[in-house]
Amino acid sequence: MNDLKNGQPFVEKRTPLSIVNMYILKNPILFWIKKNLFDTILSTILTIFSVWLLVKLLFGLIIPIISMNWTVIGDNLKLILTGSYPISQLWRAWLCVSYISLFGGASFGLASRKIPKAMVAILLLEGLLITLPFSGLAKFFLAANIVLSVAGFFLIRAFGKSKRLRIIVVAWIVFLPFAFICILGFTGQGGFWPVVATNYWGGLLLSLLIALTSIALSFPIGLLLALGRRSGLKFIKVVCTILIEVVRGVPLITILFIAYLIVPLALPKSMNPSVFIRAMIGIIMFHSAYMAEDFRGGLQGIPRTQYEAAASLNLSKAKTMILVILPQVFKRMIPVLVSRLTGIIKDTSLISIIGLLDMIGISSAIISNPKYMTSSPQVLFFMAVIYFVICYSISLASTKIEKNLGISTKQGASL
Amino acid sequence: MIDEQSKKIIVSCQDVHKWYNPEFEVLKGVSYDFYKGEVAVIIGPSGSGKSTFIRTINALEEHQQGRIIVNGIELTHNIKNINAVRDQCGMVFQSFNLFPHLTVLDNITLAPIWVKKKNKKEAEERGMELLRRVKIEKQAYKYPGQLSGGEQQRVAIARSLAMDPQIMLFDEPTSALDPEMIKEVLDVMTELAHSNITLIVITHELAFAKAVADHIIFFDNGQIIETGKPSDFFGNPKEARTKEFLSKILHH
Repeated sequence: MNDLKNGQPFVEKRTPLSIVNMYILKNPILFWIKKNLFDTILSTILTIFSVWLLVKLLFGLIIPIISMNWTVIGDNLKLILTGSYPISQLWRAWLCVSYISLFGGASFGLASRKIPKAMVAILLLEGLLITLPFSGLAKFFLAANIVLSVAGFFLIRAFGKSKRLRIIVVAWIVFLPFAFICILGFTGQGGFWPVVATNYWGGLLLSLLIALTSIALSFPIGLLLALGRRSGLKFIKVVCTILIEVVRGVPLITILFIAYLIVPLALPKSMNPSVFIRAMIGIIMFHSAYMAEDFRGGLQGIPRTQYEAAASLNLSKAKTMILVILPQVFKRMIPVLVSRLTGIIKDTSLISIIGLLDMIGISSAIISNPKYMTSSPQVLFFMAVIYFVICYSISLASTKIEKNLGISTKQGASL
Repeated sequence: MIDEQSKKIIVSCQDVHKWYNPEFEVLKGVSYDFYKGEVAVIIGPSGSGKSTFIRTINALEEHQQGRIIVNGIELTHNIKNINAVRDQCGMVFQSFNLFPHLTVLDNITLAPIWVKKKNKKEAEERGMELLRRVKIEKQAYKYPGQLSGGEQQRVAIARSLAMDPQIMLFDEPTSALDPEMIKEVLDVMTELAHSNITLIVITHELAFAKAVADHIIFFDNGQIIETGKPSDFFGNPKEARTKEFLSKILHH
């Protein structure tokens, strides 16, 4: 210590070990390794164990997976993505993707001035896919989508600031009806846009349609149920509470079986909805009940004083809810809602049990083909990757949104 | 300032009773008339029911017996009457109760736009004018969470004023503030006292009460114990309970 005070360098007796130490201290990379990986005996043991585990993983799992025969995916890609949707009508599914590209680009344009990394990644991925040996249709739409995304990104700025958000919101609300009309069709056979019955829908297309519809409908229904449960009117309160508790007390599989087996028996023959509709109603009911409980929790988190402040300003109950309470509830609930969204997307895989050929249904169909019997790990691995990519991008997006809303969240915490 | 010539009663409370539950009576027959334009300061120990009392005036709390008449409108279960009364009463709370998801200016313009159906531009011009009045116009586009307590309370006052109330109720507006911020809020309230808005203020700031109030009301145990002009009330209190309370708070 005295040496340091006098401004002289700290000099130690030069043992071989201290020379090694000196060398490590001077080199930033070695210093980092020493500090983070070999600082104590315990961390040294953990480091060695982790390296062993990584090597095991690499040779036991990753290398075997990469060196597998992946032709099964290439051969069945169309099935995995769209099931038995007629090939001549595939452009309709692509049209929906184009819609997403255009307004996805526009949404990015609304959120930031420079093209964000996430969008660059998507564009690069699309560019990469063009180079793979896909059909001409796919290549055409992939190229078109790149153009549309970039166009959307810049075109949204042509509108006035107050209009931009409105355009984006309306576009996303209109998307689901658009997608349904586009995929289902509206003219007779041989017409310009022939109807494709829902039993031809399958694969990722079916999974996403069911998931998105469930999300879009169970969100408002759940909100209404939650508000109903807090209602001052006894009748509404009891009905909503019973609905929520009954549905929450039953597993989703059971609800799907009821929808599949019992609903047709209960309904007259003339009005027998397709399995697709029945499954969707079951899923929406199930998730609405859970959503309702999420909303109830969110509503309880808003202090009574907010209602009082609104009342003292003479805001009606409905206006208080819409203008003051719900915006705060939504903001606080982003993490919960996102986990619910990813949950819904993954839960749609259960519909394969009642015979719908969603991604999981298709994959078990592919695996049961003797030609691909040995390829089941590849197929399942591919499914897992698709689900992971979708769910992980949703949670990345939600982290971004939470950060952007940071100011008011801070205030929420201080209340 | 009381309009001395007309001396019009604006809030009339007659034998107001309130129970939270059958055993707990918070207001035990409160009768008092507030005059138009006056500044009435209510003091009293905590738990004495003074806060509940002013909250019955704009029907945030329901009274179960007695009459409350605000500017000729009696408070009943009729939602129309309640709305008509709230239309004339602004309220400022101890904990500000701003809307955290809206900017300062949006906090102020929310009710004028959605309740009074003003157009956005008009409401924002008036909002900025009020923010200048409470000396906080630079913060118009910040969120409440970015402001100090004193600033938040001044925004809350501006938010109430935006509805052009005839009566302003203040429920301990400075109790949650640091000492150096109390003054900035009291200054705004003093300025309001010289307008013709009726102020009904619960506060522990006796200096403010002495300087600004037209009447002091001493509340204890759900009843009004004593009322009077500040000089009489502080200089020559009549009731033993008042003397005891004043000696406690003046000597700390």
